Amino acid sequence: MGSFVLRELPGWWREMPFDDPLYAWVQQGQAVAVLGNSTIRDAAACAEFDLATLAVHVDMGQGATFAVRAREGALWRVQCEHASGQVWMRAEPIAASVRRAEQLLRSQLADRVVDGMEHELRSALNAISLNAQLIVHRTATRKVVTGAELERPLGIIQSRLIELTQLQHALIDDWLRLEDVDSMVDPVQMLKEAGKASRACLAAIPVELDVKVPEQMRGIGLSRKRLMLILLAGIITVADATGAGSALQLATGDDEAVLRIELTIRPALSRGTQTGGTARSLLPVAGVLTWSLGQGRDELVSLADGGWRLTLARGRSPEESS
Amino acid sequence: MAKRAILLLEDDADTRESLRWLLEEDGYHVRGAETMEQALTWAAQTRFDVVCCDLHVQRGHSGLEVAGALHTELPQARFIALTGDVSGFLESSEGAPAFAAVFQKPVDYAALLAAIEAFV
Repeated sequence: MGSFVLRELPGWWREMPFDDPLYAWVQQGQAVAVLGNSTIRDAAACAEFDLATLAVHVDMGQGATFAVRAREGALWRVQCEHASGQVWMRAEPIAASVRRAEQLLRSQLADRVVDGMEHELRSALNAISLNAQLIVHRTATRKVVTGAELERPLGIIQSRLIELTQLQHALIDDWLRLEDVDSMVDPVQMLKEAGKASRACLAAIPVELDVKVPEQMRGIGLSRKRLMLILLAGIITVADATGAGSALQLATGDDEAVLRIELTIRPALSRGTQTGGTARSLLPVAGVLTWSLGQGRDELVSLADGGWRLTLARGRSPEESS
Repeated sequence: MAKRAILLLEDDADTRESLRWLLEEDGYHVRGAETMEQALTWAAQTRFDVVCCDLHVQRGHSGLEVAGALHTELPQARFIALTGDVSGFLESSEGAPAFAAVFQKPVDYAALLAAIEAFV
């Protein structure tokens, strides 16, 4: 039997017997640490985390997934991976941020849709919304919700969010193909409308984003503001290389251009983040970045002030082309 | 009390599945249909109390067309329209069955459930 290792900020470790029922431990009122994603290289994506109730039965077997309800009411999915005698845990926010995003979408996008994409957008939004409601409904009406019961709705939410972002990328590409973007109001407006989906998701996250405009972008008429817009619209699946990287290739005519975008993420203290909640406020971003990373060339570096610096490399490199 | 039966016509599989899960968890017997043909097949087999009908059904049939055909098979049922474009629906709903309620997507499940419960 291995050890159950939980890592907490600022980097100390707690061990408990692997076969201890986690829910009993939680019910004792002890803080549970939530780890970052072990697939993010050397990430400091861990956070102190208070659990008021454990919403589901916990099966600590390999690959187990369960949901927990944090004291503030947000619902998180926690995935356990058992390797080398240790259990690693990864947490992602689910219902709360999605629900807030859905509410924003409902108010912002209800009457302003993009021509030709209305049905696709609404279908994706509807599926996301219903599955967020389903998760909330299940966890609100039952004492026990198994991980298996959450997997499918979560999978739908994730896949349809990706679909939304792909629609946004299509709009971005259309926009950047135009010769004189400043004179074309409608495509920009379309981009803004489509970008609301991702921006609404991010709006629920108390972080501040800053982006360093790459040298390559300075000569092609893209302002910092517009680059931010692209990033906000496409950050969830920016790893699919159809976003800013392909936009650069389209704009420069260089099929092998590689765009490096440096994005800094810090907690937004002005939005109510409490002392000690720094890492917790960043944790939702981990879920977003988990979807964005994984392409090998991306780098995520933790900063001394609690923020992260994400460097995205987009576009095909000469090595990949050959 | 016997479970009430709901026919759910929706061409988006994720939405159809999600709505079915939700309604079943609230005690309803739900049949999902992707096409008009499938919906008519279910309608011939079951006396549905409520029909939730997406008005944007593909494969050659409009939602209103499908709703009209279903109304012939299920005259006792209450019809609820699910649509992404309420204004467009209102402009083109002539000849369609009288919908007891119209919900714009994204659908607020609590409101939808309240409407269904009021009908049955």
